[in-house]
Amino acid sequence: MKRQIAQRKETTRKTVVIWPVVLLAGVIAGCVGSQQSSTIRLPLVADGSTLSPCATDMGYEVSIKRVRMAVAEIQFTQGGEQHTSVIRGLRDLLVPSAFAHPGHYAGGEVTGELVAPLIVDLSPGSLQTLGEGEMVTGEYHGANLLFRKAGDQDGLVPDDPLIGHTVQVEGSASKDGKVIDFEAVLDMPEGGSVIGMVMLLSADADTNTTLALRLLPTSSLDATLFDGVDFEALDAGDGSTVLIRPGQDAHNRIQRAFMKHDYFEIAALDNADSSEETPDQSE
Amino acid sequence: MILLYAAALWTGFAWTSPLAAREDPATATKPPGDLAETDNTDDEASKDTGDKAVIMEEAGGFETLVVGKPHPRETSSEFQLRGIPLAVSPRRSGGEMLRSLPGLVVVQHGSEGKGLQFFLRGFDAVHGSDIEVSVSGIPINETSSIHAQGYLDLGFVIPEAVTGIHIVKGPFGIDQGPFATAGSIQYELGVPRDSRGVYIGYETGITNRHRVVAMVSPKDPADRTFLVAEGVRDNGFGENRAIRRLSIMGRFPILDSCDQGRLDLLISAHGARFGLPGLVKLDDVESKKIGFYDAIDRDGNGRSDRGFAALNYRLDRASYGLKALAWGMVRHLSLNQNFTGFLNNPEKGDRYAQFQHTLSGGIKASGHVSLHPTLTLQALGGYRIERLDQSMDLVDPKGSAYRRTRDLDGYQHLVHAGIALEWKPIQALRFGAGLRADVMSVSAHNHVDEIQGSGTVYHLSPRFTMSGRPGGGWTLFASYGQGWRPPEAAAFAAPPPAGDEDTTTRPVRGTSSHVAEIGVHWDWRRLLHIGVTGFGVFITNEQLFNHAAGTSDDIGGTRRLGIEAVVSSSPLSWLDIEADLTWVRARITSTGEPIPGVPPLAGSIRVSLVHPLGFRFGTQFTALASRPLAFGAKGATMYRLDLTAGFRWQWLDVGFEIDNVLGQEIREGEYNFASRWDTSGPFSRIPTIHLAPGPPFTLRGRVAVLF
Repeated sequence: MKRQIAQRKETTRKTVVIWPVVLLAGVIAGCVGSQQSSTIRLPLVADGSTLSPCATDMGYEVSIKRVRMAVAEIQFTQGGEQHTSVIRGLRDLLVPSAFAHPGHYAGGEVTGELVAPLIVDLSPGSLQTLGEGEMVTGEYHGANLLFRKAGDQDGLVPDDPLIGHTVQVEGSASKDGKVIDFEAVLDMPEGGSVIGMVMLLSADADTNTTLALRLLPTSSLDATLFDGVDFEALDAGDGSTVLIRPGQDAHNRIQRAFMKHDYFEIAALDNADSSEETPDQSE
Repeated sequence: MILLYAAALWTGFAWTSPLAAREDPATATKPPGDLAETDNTDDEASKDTGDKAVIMEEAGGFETLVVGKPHPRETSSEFQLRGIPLAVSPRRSGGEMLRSLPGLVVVQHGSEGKGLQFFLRGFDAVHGSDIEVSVSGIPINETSSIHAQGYLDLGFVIPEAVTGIHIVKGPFGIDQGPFATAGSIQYELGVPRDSRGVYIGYETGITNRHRVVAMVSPKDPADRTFLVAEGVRDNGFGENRAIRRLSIMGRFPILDSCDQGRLDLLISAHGARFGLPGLVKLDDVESKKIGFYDAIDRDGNGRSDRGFAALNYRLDRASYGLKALAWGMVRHLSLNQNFTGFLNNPEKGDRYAQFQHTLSGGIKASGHVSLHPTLTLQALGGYRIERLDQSMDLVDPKGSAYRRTRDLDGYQHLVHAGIALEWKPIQALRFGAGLRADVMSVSAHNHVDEIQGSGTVYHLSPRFTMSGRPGGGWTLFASYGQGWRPPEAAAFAAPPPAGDEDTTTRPVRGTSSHVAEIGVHWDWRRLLHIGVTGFGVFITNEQLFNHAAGTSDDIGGTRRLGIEAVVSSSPLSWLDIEADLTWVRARITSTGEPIPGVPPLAGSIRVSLVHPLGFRFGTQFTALASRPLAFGAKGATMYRLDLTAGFRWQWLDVGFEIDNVLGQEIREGEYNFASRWDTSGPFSRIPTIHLAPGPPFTLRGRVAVLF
């Protein structure tokens, strides 16, 4: 009996002393503080290399000479919002939509940005420096473009047609040998944006690339920015430039296209490409 | 006086407990994991052994339970919190008692009134989406809650009326229903023998806490009657964390017959009003812009009300048994919160007000019959109906709603049935195999989009358990089961995908988990118990909550692999020591990224004693390794030491509890997302760490009298 008692006491002492010491030592040895997400900064340019002529559903071949867009912010997103809105829509149906609190998992959340009032200025072959985007490292699949109205702070000349508006497109539409020059000035609704344009980038701490914002006159679905616009019907026939302005049906069609992610992408340029960039044309 | 009792304590330590000294294992004190039930404990969580013989003895005013024929555990990782560890567990609230369960990580990111956030086996179970909780058999998870699927509010559970908490990690029994994708927790209600009679307790604390508990129950421990009421008023340990709570709970036997069984009426009413402080930015805390315990959201608040009545029937026979439960419940939840400030709406802000009102009722029954001395058949079934009405408004700084994002009402019908066979070819070998079917039918009206939708989903869950005792104190376990998280009612009345006008073929479905575990346990002379369990959880269509989109993202498959180890010892009849360690590797299958928020390593040590002289003492040391957060951020290592102590002398009970004895600034919850509270300047949408602080050093004292 005494032996059993002694055995129990010994076991108890070991139990009481050893376990806490081992666990406490482990905890203290492994103590770390909170660590924010790792971020990198990458240069972003507006790349006009994709502004090739497009064939619209009305039979026009449209060539863009210049596009200017007043942009409030460019956001880079991980997961979530991606190229196909159908996937997103299906997902919304499949899953619970309760609101708890943030931070569990943030698929589709903005994890990178370039915040600055910008005038993105694109013409065929141009390369315009926009600034440096800051982003959390990770796998990127999408980006958002937030529009704004151009104003005095943009350094535009007083009679610049973009002032007070968001997008200006200059180009020409040709059909049956007839060429019609046009200029469209677009207004976006408040909060107008392009959500979910494609951006495929695996960003880690060693990533050293230049990001290129591109406008795609023809989408991957073979639709174009100018589908449904009958330029000939807008043409006065006197050789003057066709002006497309807010309120017109043509304006609304082009405006809606400019808010679709199908017509934009952000691509990673290799260093050779990025070294060719030209000075900022907006200045 | 203290020294005197300390000496007595340690003298007692050297004594050989009369109970522990007994060599007959059939009368040994509670072995780890065994059911040690009081006669007055409710029945739902207990096993249908049909041959339990419970003897009760008294030591120093505290009941000691002597189990005549211990019921063997059926899975390796199941755990019972009862007896001495339960008696010394912190009693801030019924939900907080769950902190004593091994492997379960609990986070309070609101105040005491809001539901807890749970992490178990690599799951971020949010507010209950993956943990099924029942109280006296009544399902508590709120299907289709406006705040979070499976939302759990355990504020109505009065700690003094809890006699046991049983956790089963994994869905291995056919009695485990919706939300048991990670596991199930069952509260057992009753009154411990040492608190029977008229019990009046008052608790106060340094947070201006005032808590009164009044409890009435017959002295006869076999009488299941009790009536307990609780009132709480507490300013909380930081800004906007105040809580006011009133709860009442009672059980009244209607029938108590050896021939006809026993029937109890259980009633509960609960109301709570509380502040919701939001989460503070780590950067702001480190730059001293805001205090660690301050509130970023000083207008956040919540309201939680619940009332239910239940009839619980049980009949036990040598060769068969029957249990039945019928209940009705009314539930209201309102939450007014803002986590992101003015990020999404710079002018009106991102505050939201959620409202949910639910009326529900259900019946369920289960029975078992011995087909052969080695073969037992179990069958169960049930039906639940719920009428829900929920809304969510975005609210401007003046409190006016400026946009309604959810306005939904409808009915949910949940039906389940199951059948299982238990085969014991020899005493030391047990096989269990069962199949459970769950069906959910929903009709809902989405008033925002003016969509009426309905649909039915079902899930079949096969479940297997096996255990064997080859001798030498060894026990081997193997289990497999499927768990099911039902979809939300809103999914049945959601707008169609962009460009899709066909609203008739929406693929609404739930989430199912495949869980397997193997374990080995070793018991040495009832002095030492070691259990090691390896588990794997596989989900093909995992959904994780996304605040920004207001939905849960379908992230594809997830995989969780882990090992749990529990070591416990009850060297003396009044001493219980336990340590546990859980390691889990939780990954999103397609990317290999860790599941955010899940601690890869968690451990705790608990020392609990209730000495025959009347002393009681409990301490728990909990440690969590750094947690991976969203977007590559990492949370801090966390450790916490809590302590309770007390003394019982005849009709007087005094005690105290200390949260966070070491006074650490505990980062209990950490989340990585963007917020904007300063509207005067530029801001960033890049995620940054936000904190939910755990309690600082908090002292609560308690005095109670018994008649």
